[in-house]
Amino acid sequence: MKLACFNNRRTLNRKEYNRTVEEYSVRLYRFLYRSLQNEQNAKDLVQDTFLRLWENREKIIHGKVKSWLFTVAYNLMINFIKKHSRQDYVAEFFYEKGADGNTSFEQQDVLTKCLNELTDQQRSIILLRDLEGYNYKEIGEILTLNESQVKVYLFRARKRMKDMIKDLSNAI
Amino acid sequence: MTINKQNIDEVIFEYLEGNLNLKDSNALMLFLDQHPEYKAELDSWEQSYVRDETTHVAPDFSSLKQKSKTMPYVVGGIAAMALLLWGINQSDSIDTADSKPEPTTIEQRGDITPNVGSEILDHKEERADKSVIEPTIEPRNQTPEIKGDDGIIMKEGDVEYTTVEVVNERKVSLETTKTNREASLQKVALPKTAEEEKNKRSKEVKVIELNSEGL
Repeated sequence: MKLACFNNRRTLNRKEYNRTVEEYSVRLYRFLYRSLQNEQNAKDLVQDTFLRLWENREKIIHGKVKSWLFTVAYNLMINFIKKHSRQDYVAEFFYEKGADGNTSFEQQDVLTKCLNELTDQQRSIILLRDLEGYNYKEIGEILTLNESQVKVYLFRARKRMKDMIKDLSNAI
Repeated sequence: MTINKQNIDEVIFEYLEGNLNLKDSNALMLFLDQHPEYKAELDSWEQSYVRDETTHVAPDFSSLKQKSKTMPYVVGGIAAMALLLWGINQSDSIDTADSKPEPTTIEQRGDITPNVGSEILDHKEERADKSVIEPTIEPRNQTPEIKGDDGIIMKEGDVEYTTVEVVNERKVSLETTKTNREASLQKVALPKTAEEEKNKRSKEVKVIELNSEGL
């Protein structure tokens, strides 16, 4: 995936970088944790993302840091998921959560299950929209999609989620 | 906007996304009132929104911050400067405590004013027992310059010297003032001129007498 390219370059200095860490590290973690459902993996990917930010600080426009971070985090997450097959990953998640048995029926876990059933792109759109409050344009910048595509993918993702939630609720 | 069974999902989605205006929102509410079976659809759609209700605490990422590499050098530099200044201060205080710096001029030595030569000359007897340690001679040209025939600048008279004596470690400028010397010379010269004048006058008287005799 093409990373955000920047013509009007301005070096991100150390102070700005540290401020970015303060502002976005937890938000990135939340996004990755929601997607991967694994604390350590999410933490590792946050670290990788900020390592790349520091290495590429001279190529990044200061105002585009936010979208750059989520783009890189998203790409790293996709690569990570490709390396570990999705099934293994989901199995690992349920192994982690399955200790007390009842948690999978709670609303949050139903939602998490449904999220895991979505494609990586659909899940990322939902998380960026719901957790980070990005608009269609910003999500498009992160995922290199246009606004219409984002809206269509978001609709499909939500409809799929809605159907799964409805089915699960009926099953319970 | 027409709302029907075919587009109800799209309309609910737009409504929850906040893309519907007031008129269309009211139209949707009216449709749901007329078709209550779709109210469950609206609830399901609402549940598809992810809310951050997890109690999961994010780890601390402050270790990701970059520490300044120049900071230790700056601190080290400041410390070195402070140490250097402290060292200089210490050496100064040791110097002042152990030995006073030797004054180089009379004024610095303090209790003697520069023009005390005449006073000291007046008290030669008192000065007699005081040994002269380092007489130094400083040339001072007080005479005007005269241009010779060949164009070479010459100085009239002898070069006068100012003798500086150190009496009991006191440097005293003994200005053997010109006035003293001139005064003594004038004293010697005065009788000469009186005699000359006398001789002149006597000669004149003699001439007058001779003239009167001649007459």
